Amino acid sequence: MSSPRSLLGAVALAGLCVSLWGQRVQLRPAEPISFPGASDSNSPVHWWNGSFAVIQSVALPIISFGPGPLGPLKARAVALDSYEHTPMWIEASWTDDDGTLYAWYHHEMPICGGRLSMPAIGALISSDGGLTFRDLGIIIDSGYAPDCNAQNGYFGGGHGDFSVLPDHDRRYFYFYFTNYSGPEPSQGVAVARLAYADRANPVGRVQKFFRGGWREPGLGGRVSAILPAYISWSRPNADSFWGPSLHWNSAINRYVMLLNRACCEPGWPAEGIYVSFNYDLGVPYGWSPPEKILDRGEAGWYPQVVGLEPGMSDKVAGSVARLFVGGDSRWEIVFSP
Amino acid sequence: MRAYQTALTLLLSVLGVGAAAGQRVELRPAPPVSLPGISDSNSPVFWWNGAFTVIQSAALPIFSRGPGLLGQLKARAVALDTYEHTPLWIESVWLDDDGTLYAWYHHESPVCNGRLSMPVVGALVSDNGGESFRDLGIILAPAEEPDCEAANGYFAGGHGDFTVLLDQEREYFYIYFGNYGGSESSQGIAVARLAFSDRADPVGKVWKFFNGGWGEPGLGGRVTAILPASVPWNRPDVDSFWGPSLHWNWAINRYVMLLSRACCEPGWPVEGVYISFNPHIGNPYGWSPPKKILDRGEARWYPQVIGLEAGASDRLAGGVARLFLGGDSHREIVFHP
Repeated sequence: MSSPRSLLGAVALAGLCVSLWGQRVQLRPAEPISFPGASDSNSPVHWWNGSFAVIQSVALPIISFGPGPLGPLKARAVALDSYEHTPMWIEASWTDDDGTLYAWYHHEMPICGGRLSMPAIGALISSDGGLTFRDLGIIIDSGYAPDCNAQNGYFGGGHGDFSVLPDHDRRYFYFYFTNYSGPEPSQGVAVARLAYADRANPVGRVQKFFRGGWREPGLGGRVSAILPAYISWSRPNADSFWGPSLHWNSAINRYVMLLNRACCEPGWPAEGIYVSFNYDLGVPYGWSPPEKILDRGEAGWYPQVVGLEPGMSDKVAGSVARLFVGGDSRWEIVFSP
Repeated sequence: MRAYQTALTLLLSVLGVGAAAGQRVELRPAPPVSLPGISDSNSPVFWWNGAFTVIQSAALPIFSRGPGLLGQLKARAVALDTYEHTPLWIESVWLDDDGTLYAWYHHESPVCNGRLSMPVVGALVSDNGGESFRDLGIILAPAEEPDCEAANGYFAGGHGDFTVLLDQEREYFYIYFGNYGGSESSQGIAVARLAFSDRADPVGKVWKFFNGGWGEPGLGGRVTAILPASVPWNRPDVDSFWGPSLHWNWAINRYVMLLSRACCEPGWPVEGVYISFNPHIGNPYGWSPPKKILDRGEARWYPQVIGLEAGASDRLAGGVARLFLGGDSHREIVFHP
């Protein structure tokens, strides 16, 4: 049953790549802008009562509000109903039509005597635009055993460094995350999904993408990497894409994924920032081959696109947007069909 | 004995006014500087491994770090070992010679079925420059029960909105705070002190200034207002100074206190920002009569001076410094002997 699906996925990949190669991305220097906080993860953006809001995290989240992405923005700490799942990095958000804000976080647990840690993914909900959140619990964690011999410098396994986007039909939220342990074909960028209807009660409702299907449980469960690590995360010279940052781009009618690439020594040095395109979030093998847009030296961790027009965010952008790297932007990013 | 002490402090007060009357303060426009966060209290500043650091609070604290007051600062949330005393606002800090950072916070508890709140003052300690703090407990609290008839819009009594500053001899930390309840003569700006040697174990070691002496306990205990409210805080037309912000100014060899004045309707509208001087922080009656430096309209909550030189802070400034109001500065403040 799984083989035909894999084959179908491979065919889809080949077909989409041809048509997607037509997309063009251009970076051009722009007036520097900085979010108020340090960004040690993807930094989700939403609008609340007409104000632009960005959540940034370094082990705990802060939220900054202002008139727009160009500022001025003022930061404050986010309050949590429970600090059980700290340290916590909020990486993605979604505002319901009624104003309820859902958010998803990366939580790290120390393992191997505290030498390494292991991330998992949890869910939050807010009724006040992100000033306070209620923890809904852990929804995605690794089914693979910790690897205390991992040499990448940070993680002994786990799932984290992710984006969440709903599809156009609002049937599923898709989680594009990084898997840091398990068999080599599972390491790299992986995918899971949660039914849109389950967003308020997500624990035990997430399914992972594995061998062309969505049957593996979000808690535990196996994954197939859609962008497998070239060299395993257990090795000191790990070479892998990580930290996918996704948005829907209205100018090219494609989903866009920015990626970090760590290579090839411990500590995850940034080899470059890459871009990939897809028509359909729900087709994990539909992404075009990643192409480098920033090289070593200029690249840093946590690239993301933020749309400039009112209502746009890290989840939706137009032809001209801002490229942020670690919470700072020195470039416009231009998407051409 | 008590009458003698009162007479002596009154005499010192008169002398203090005379000595301070010669000070001149000038405000002049300057390019805007905004701290990254929201300042819903005094915002203490310190230097950590050569980096300028400011803590700002809006129910929870964040800290921002960078090369200097005028350089780019990046904010992140402060982690606490317990969230029992949240919401909390960190209002003052002291950095020991060994790098241990002490901080003091304003904590509000809801009273009167949540219609009002009541602040108290607590202490924290950090061994990593403010990234995380351990709560040492509540050190300053009122004797009075909440006054649920209070009509100022926020507080039913309590002690808060304070500055902590060490004397030159390192004998005592002096806590200048707002007292929002109790007898009319006790409401307004009050003072307490903590022996420097008790800073790591401060609970039960604070003493309030009352009737010219330091014999009242910090937890419970009575206070004498050194700047009494003209109209008490339980009235809707309250008229009182509050939120003292103190520093030592080496250009004039005086302690300087900035004050907000709330007058004369609920919600604490800002009547003005005032300044007062004192050669001796341990002489609570030594402060010169407050003089207005900013009028209604220009004035905002939480005025404070931040020195511009390396090592200067909210506790230490020279002849030319920055005047901040609620985390934003549009003026230099110049002190003339």
